[in-house]
Amino acid sequence: MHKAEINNRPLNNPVWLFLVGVAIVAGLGLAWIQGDQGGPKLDSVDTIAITKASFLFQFAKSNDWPEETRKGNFKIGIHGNRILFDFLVEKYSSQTIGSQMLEIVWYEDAQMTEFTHILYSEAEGDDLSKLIESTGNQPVMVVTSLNDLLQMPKGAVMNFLVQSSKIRYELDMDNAVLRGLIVGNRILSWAVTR
Amino acid sequence: MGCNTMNMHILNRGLSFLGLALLLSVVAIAQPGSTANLIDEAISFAEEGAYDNALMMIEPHLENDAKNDARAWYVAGYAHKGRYKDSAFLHSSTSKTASAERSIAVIQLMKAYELDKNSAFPGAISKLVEEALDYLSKTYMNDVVKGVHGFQMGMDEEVLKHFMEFVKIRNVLSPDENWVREEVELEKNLAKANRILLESIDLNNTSRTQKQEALFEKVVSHYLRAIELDGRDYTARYNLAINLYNRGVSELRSIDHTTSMFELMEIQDICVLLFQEALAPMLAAHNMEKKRMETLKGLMTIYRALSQNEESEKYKNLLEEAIK
Repeated sequence: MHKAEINNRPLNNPVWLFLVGVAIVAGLGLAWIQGDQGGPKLDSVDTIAITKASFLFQFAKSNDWPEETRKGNFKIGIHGNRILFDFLVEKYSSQTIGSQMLEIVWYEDAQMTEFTHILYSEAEGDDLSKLIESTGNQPVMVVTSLNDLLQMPKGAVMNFLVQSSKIRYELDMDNAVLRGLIVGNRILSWAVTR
Repeated sequence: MGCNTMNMHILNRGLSFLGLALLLSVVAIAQPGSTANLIDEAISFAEEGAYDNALMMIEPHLENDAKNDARAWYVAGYAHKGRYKDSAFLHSSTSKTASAERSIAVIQLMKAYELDKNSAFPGAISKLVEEALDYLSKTYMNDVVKGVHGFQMGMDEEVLKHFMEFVKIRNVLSPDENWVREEVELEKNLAKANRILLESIDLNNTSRTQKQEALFEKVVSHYLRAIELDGRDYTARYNLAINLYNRGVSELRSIDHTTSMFELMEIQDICVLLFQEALAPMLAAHNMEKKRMETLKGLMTIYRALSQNEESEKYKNLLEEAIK
């Protein structure tokens, strides 16, 4: 039986060369078992900022502003959240709203120094009051992000809040009408109440 | 090689020759046309590399007069092993022909091993069978390694099947060996291989969504299997959590100017669900190793994405403490 072994076959047999290759790989075979090296890296992008930016773009797309504001660029002003500003610039600044080019404006202080169609702020208390006051009765869609209050901040048209870990928004329709804004049906239908 | 090992080697050689002498004595008294004679002729064919002839001679007898003959099963298994080698050399070790030959070789060699163990002279050919099976087990492991390194979509089952064949043979050769740890690592490596493919999918490809879904499901299922196999595996939990979380983020990143309000709401629902699913394995990983900074960062990030700011702050503080 022993003579049936392949050992006596000539070494230049191509099968042997293959076997040498197998043996080398077999020797190294278990080397791959070293744990899951190079695992996935946490994507630490600000997901809340992405979500809010997406909503702000929807607000721009799906609402209507008075005729006199349909000249020049369509402006979204951001106050208090630089990441949100950067994301809007990166993702949407080359887009148009109707025939207007979209422009993202950064406000360092709690004051609207130039007209913006949408003004988003994460300010609270006096700062927020000051900012809202600076918009007067202009057709500015003031969007806030105050989750803890019992009701929407006075003067805001939209307010982001969290419901079941999801970002949603509430709407003050009276304030929108007062400012001459026409809220789109889609925006209206997705608004939540407390 | 130590002196004792050398002595053992010489002793083993001696025993092999003794076994050979016993086997040849059976051959010597074999009558033409007898089973023993057929086996001897098949050996000669196999020795010359004429595996087809050897098999044509021996296989019809394996279910009849040679069904309890360990030598006959060994020669058949040996010949199939030879055909496997030839086929693997010409094509690949995982080609249809090579795979079939290898599977039959393993079955026949195992049968020879079992018969030999229960024979009047146990061990006469076991060493030869062990060598053949050991070789085949290594070829299976090679295919596992090659399968992981050159992974392509849908290869999961094939790679796992090769590993199971490897384990099956090893369990016969060394019943005390435990390969669970390696199976866990294989599952994690397959998860990683699927994840790398998932990340490399061309975004302009129209069928990307279906592919992405299929690959992501594989990533998750491999990590879940790894956790099922080893309840104390930290990496599988952490990586599962990261994959679930990142999947949610990639959904969010897919939002652009063409996304409708309805789609935005739908994407947000999916994301939150994925973030919530990521939380349990991340918390489990954290409970295993409380000081690990990546889990603290992971929990801080997941809670923040779920708008649970107090919890997020808690882990942020723990992370800052850990960094100090």
